[in-house]
Amino acid sequence: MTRLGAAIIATLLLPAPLHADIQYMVDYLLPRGGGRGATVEVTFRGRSLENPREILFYQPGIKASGFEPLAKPGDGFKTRFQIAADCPLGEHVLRVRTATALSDAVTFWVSRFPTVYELETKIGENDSIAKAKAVPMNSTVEGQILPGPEMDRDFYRVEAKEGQRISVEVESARLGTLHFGGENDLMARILDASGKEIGKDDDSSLYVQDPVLSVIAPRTGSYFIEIRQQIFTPPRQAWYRAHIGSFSRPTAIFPAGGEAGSMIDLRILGDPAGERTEHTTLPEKSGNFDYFAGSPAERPPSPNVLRVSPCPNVLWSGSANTPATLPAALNGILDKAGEQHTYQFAAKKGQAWKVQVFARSLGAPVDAKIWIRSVKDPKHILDADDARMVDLGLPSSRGNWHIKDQLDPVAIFRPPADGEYILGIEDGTNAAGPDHVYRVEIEPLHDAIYTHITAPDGYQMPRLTALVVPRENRWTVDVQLAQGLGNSYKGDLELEARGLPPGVSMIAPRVAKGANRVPVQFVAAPDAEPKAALIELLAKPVDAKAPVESGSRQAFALTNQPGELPWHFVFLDRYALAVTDPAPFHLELEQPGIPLAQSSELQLKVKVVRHGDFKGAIEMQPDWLPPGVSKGATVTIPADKTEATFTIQANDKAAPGVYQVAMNASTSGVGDGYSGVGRVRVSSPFVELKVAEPYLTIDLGRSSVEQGKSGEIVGTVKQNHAFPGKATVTLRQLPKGVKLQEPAPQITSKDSAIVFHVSADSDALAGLYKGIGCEIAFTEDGQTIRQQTGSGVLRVDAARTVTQPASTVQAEGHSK
Amino acid sequence: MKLGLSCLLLALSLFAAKDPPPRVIGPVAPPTFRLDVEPVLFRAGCNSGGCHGAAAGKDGFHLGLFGYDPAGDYYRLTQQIVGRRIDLASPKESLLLLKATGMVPHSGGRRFKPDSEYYKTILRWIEAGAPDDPPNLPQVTGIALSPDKVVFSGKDTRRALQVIAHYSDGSERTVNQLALYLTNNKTTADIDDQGNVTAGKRGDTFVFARFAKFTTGAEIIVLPPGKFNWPKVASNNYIDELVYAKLKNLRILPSTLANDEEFLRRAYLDVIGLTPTADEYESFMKDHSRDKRARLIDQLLERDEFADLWATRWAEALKVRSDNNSAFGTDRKAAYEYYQWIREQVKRDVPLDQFVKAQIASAGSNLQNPPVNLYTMLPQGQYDPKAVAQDVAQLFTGVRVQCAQCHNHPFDRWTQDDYYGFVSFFTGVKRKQASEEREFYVYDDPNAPPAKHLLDGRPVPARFLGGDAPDVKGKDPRGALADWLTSKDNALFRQNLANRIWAAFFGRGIIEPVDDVRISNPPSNRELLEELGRRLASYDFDTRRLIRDICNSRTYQLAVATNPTNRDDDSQFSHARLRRLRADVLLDSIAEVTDTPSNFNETPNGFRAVQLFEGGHRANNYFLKTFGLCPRDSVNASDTRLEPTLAQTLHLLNGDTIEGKLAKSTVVSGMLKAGRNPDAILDELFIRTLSRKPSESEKKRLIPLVAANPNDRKAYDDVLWALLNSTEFAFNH
Repeated sequence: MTRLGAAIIATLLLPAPLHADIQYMVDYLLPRGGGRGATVEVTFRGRSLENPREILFYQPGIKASGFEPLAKPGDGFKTRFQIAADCPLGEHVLRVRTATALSDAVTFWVSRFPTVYELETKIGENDSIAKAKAVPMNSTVEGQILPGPEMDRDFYRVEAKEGQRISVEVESARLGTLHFGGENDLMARILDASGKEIGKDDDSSLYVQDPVLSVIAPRTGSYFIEIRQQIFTPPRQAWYRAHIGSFSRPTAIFPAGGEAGSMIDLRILGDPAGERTEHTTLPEKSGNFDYFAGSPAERPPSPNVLRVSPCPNVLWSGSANTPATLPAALNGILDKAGEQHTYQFAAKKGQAWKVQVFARSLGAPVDAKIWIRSVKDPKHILDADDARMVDLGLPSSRGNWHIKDQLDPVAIFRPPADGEYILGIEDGTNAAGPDHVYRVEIEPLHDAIYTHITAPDGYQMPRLTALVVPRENRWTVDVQLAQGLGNSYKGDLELEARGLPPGVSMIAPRVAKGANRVPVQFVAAPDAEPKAALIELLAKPVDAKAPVESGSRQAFALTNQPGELPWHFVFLDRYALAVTDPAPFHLELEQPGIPLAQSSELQLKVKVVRHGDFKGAIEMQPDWLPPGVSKGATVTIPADKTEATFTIQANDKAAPGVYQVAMNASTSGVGDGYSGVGRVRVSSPFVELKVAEPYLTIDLGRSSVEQGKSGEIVGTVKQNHAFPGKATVTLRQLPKGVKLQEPAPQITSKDSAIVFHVSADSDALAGLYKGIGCEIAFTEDGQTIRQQTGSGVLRVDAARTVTQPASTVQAEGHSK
Repeated sequence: MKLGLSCLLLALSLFAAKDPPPRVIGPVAPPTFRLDVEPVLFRAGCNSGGCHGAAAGKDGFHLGLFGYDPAGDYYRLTQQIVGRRIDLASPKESLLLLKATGMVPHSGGRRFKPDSEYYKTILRWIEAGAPDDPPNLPQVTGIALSPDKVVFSGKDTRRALQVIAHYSDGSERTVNQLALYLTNNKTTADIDDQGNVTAGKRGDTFVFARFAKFTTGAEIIVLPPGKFNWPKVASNNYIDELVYAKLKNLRILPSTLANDEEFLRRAYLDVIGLTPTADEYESFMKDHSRDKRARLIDQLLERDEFADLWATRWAEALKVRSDNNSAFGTDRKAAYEYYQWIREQVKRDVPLDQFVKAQIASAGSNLQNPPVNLYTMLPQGQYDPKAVAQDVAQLFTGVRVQCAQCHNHPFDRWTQDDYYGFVSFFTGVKRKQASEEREFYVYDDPNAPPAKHLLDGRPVPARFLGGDAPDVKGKDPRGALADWLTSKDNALFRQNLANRIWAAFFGRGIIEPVDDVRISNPPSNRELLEELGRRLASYDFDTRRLIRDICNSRTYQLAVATNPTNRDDDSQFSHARLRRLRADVLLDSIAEVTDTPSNFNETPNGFRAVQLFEGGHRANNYFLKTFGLCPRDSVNASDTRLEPTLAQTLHLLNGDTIEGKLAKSTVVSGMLKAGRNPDAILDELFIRTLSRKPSESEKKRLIPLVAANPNDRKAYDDVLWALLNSTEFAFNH
């Protein structure tokens, strides 16, 4: 096997660790949340957590103060969270900045109720009605399904008055306590004092794995809430936060949104106390809007999500073809099985409308599908069912990620002619019910391009997804560009950074038309202060006339069951960037003097400059390369060396052009190389890498050789650009038993033909062999360039046992 | 076309003694291909599955299986290789005849002789130019066996049956020479290739004739010589009367009634899957009231363990098992939800018709609406409407329709139209991923096209098995199917469920296997099966009520020991059968006897084997596997293996199940601690394991073993070990 081939295979065989093996800086933090207005001592556990400096929150409302290391400082620390009285409820995403790193993202949950801790030390302490732990109505229980061979059941007792609501909302899968192996799919039951079940929920439309239930107490007395795993799986850590109270827990609201800034009437659905109407004024900003239904005393722990849009509402009239004027938001409830709602509107040729359904993504149990047709023709012009994550503007770096939002269709409608059109919506699974609320927003299409920073395996990996820039150094990340559905802008793009901390600058090459990845480098000045910040990277069209919506999108899978299928995702709209203490080394990548030709390889020369007494080894690899260019395994510069080369290869389809390329490197021998946890990382400055057409091509044509004989393979050489000196050409993929005779032929950049002398063993297998190729090797710019070319055919003939005149032999070849 | 049949009639009149006189006027016509030649190929076995009827044919020559494709056969014989198989110029040199008579080498050997009527029929057809048939040729509409019931008693040991074929033109003829014959029990009655039945040992069986896609049977009863007096035997209910009626006919006397100990153990194991505890034994034995057996049955039927056992039986039939990260909705959570739903139905005594209907016509999320998992668990992978239709038919009617996928059923009445019509109920079922990886929606697409017929590709609209085609346009056809299937009028459904319930208490069905209902596998007591089916329907499909009838019958309570008249009876329920315990029941019984619960993979402590919602699928338990717990790979009732194997014996002797449990058990040490004397300890060990006290002779031999060191548990453990290894423990009797 050639070196080039071996290198490619080595790349394919790079170990991709199972998710369970991936290291995270923060495994989990406890407790999993706290109540508004409270101060909570929070313990972070993980690795490489020495020298914590800052907790970076993605939302306001929590302040961290003081760091107290655990017995072994790398294992974690304690800090205090002060939760503001008006702190936003629910999930708060945060990261830890240490002196040298920025951790993966983890979450902390805020409740409107005071916290009661379960404090169960061994299974069985509160596993029955008799042993239930009493909790006040309207509290949040922070509990744990304990690991072990027994099934842990947790019982809580509340006192309720006749007619009062008893509501339970559990946060468990949503907590994402562990990156892997949480197995925290819980269920909840409400029992009366006799043990009779009066309510039960395992999964909910609102929160998928997390149960939600609400009942009316039939009489005054004690009631019991049981929380346990639905299916027994010994968990590593199945924490939960169960809100138990008399709050109202609507399952849906109709309409599920309205026009920005308008005052609307909302029907509150799914409350066991009955349906009611509330009025509210919607915010001016379009997008999702968290609505907490009910009076302040009865508001649920989690909001119902409503849509705010610039266009007015149209409500389903109850009869077919409800009239609408575009743009519009169509709202209805599919409460009868097999029901179809239709709306009629006018549209003009040349318009482009984005038609997007919001139902399942808002928590309604609807699996919508839509169609559009002309009033004159029953044939559908458009059919849309499930959506891809990218169509929803969400990042998905793994093909098998699946979230409920994908059940909501999204499509672009381009009317083929001026006229009246009908949109139909139905539940594709024929499901129906009083809370099967849908909303279809039809708005003029506008271009959108989002930036994503995700790791190829879909999980958090600081090496590829966290932006950590040592002071006076730089770091390069691979930024992906996701085109919105139906985009019309196809030109070059530039990236713009917003919110960079002082002293940090961004170097982002212009993104050529059609490219969907770009290396982006962040440089921290010598005076940049160590600090973390939330930044945005926005794609801007170079042709400023074309307006393009842009945003930053990052997603993490936080809780996983076996098989790496996540149950909970965190979607973020900003990237975290941290300036850390200076790194002990700088990296220089030498500007290549020659291009990287298609089907050939190139050695990148790297030099490390160590500072102070740092003598350690350094591992390096480029995390971004042009399309069609691949890399081998990580290369280590040993402790006593300052230089090394890194080989990259271009395939025959690598697009010719000039690209900015940097080398990323980290300290070695500490922490984890794959995730980057526990290591200090820096980049070299960018150099230009030119990808060019091959130096030469060799056409081998067809040849033959007889068993036990020698023969010739003749190639036609086509020279593209000159190479210095002589090139040695060997043959690849020769069949077993056929050898290229030494010495291998050599050519110069002036030659137009080449002859290979081959010999076949007497036991070489007779037959037709395709794909015989050449490997060309020559020296330029101080390095050996290897290039592959050609695809010839060689026939190995059986040995002829009878000597016959030459003409007869030839004739026999055709006689069969 | 009566004229076209004349040759056949003439030919058959040569063999059939009681043939009706030929009604032929006019010149003799040559044999027809479909009515004369094809039956010869059928009778000679040429178109059987092992010969040219195989899907790929044999030795380069293919015939439609059992003659279901006559047009194709005609083409292949006359035109596929012109002049080879049929030689019109020299008919006797036709390869068809040379091969069939073994004149040239033939893998199938000689099928008939050159002087046979079969040979002559084919030769005359070829001599006539091997003509194809006119389109209005009559077709066989059915066959009959005459007589359809024969009772052998005394000296008569041989009787000729006639096979009479009925044709669409109203004619009929005897086709003994062209039919195929089989018997269900050779030792009772054998039948030769002319339709002559020879009586064998005492008993009751059926013989069958097959001709032209039809099968029919005749009941053969063989009675012993001599006088027979039916004694006065008490009957507890209608079951006994129907069983006795049959036994009386067969001159078989039922065994005596099982004693209280035998009954107690049998009822516990059958109804709740556990052996009675020592306390339960004592309290039953102390009870001297006349209705104590009936009261015990009532008590057992109300226990949760009854629901566990029947939920597991259903879960096995419905293939409830998981495949994690499944792309087909068979995640462990779905399996769990489905099992829980099944158990809840059993526990709440939901009528069986509703239980089945809820599954057949189900739609929605596999996690939120568990019965839809019928459509995830039966396929266990990609959805195939044919496979699901086959499973549903087998599960709820006992009929195996799969043969009719490729050809009309050879041993039953099902045609390909029946098959594809039934499949069409399931062609609209769709599955799609819902909110998360484990959740799938199951729903019906009312616009999905029906199944296509294999032969001509025409769509076959949804049609009930052997019934009508409902109007399902724009509707989910499964609703109509569920209504038809579970209707009280549907004898297939009610009798199959009754038979399955019956089999659980007798170790064999009245039709056995319970899921192979066909004309050629008739019930051993038709009247009993029909009555049980009727009762089940009239009880609104209440499982417990039918079980109560069964368990209260004297038939269920008979002893295992036989008398000279019923020694050979294996199908008329004249005595109790020895039945090895199901793997899970056996393991649970060992755990109960030794008071050491088993631990299973992925299951919290404290669960019995019978409560494993996926059976042994993920339990990773050698015992359950070795003792043949149903692997839930198919809906076949035979997947639960009850045959003893060497591995089972070795495991009981040397494996870690009994050894491990004995080592952990505190049963003996507890009794020693409580100061119980050897006599009492031995009694309890016998009661725990065998639900009886040791016999005098047993005690005589055991006392010296334990008396030497009465406070040492080792000798008692040895006794317990021996009891657990005894056949008496491993069997229900």
